[in-house]
Amino acid sequence: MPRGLAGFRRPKGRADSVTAFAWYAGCVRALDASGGIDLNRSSAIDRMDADEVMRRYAGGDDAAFDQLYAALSPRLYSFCVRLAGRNGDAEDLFQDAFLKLHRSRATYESGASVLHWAFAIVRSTHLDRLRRRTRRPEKLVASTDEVPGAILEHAGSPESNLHAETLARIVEQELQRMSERNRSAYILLKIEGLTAVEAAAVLGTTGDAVKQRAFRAYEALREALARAGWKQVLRV
Amino acid sequence: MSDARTPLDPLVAPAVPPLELSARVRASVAQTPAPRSTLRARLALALVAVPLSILAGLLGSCVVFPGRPLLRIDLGALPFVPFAERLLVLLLLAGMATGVALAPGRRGLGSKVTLLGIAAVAVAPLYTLLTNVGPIGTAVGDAAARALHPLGLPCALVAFAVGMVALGAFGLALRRAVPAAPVNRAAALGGAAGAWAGVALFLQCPAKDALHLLVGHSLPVAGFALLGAIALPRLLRP
Repeated sequence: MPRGLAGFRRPKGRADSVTAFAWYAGCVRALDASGGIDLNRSSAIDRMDADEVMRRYAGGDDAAFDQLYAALSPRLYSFCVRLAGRNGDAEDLFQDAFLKLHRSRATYESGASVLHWAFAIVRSTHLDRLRRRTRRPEKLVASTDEVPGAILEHAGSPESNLHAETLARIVEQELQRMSERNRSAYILLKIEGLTAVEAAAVLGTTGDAVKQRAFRAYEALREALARAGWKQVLRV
Repeated sequence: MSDARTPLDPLVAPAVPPLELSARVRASVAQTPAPRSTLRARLALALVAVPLSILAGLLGSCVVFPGRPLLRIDLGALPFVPFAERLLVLLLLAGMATGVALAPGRRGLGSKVTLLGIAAVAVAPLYTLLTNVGPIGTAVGDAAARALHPLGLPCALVAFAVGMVALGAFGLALRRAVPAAPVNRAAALGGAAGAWAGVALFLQCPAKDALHLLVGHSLPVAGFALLGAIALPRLLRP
């Protein structure tokens, strides 16, 4: 079992939305850690190693790419899926972002966190794509009915819990519905586990703004869960 | 199945990119050449370009506007301490704005946005305060200033030339290197370029007239922050 999962239990029955939400965010964080190399927590290659690999790659060592890809791709792919929502979009975003990371590798500042730098590139690429789409609108497939694949596409055994699936679906759909600013702040802060200061650096804003945006996203998720029938417990 | 494991099954799937996607990424990366020059080398070149841009701007103005001296005509007669103090403060202002705009920051994503905002917005008012309030000069300078354009349009052109070279150098140094807050960074780079243009004008123009100083000197300095914010972000984004 991946580290960090032991602390999570599915809320029994129709849990309140706050518990459900906290449980969901915790699960996603912990489970992401099981999918590849976790750069926020110590793992097979820890963060320092990833930064070192990137430093070598930035210095022109092409052979370091495979290691870098192995270290970054799980987290970046998850991030792309949560940012872009639809599977096809997420894949295109992931490919574009990696290409940009490669093209601007010489600009990586040695000693900086490669994960945060890569998150910033993904987000910048995502914004570019949104801008392009605004200028040249294309036919979009409704994304709100679709659950981002990376999280649920290989949904476990048949006895996998419908309860959790529904919860994940509501959260993911609501994430796709909210503004890009709130979504990205929420993802970085609550799911990717960055601090407000780190998320602020990635998003190019202030820590307070990040907290505010993430809170708005949190409120939207809570309302969505409440609408879906999850009882809300008022905490005094 | 354990109690802890059961609820997690639907979410257990790690978000691993499909193999076909990974192959596509590897292929596209292999086909795409990446520049080898490091960011530090590019920044060093940009910093070298700043004094050169000032020199080129001043020399160019002598050619374009015959009779315009390379440095202010009253330079020898100016009281040394007030002039040196003011020049030093202007150099500090330009240097600090440049430092904030170019610094990679602790996280490699540039200075904090609040600092970038200050660098973009504060340069022009500070420059105006330093040069327009109690401008220093001598009788020689005053006599020469009477022959200058009342609105300081030639000065504005000199500022534009110097600032554009500096802004271009900064932009090329940070090309594809600003994934976060590119507009703020671009505005700060514009502010810094404007500050260097202001230094060039302070070295060359002896004018003390408020209108001349505002339109010919301060306005171009302020304009560069706006120009940077509009023109540079596309160049800066990865």
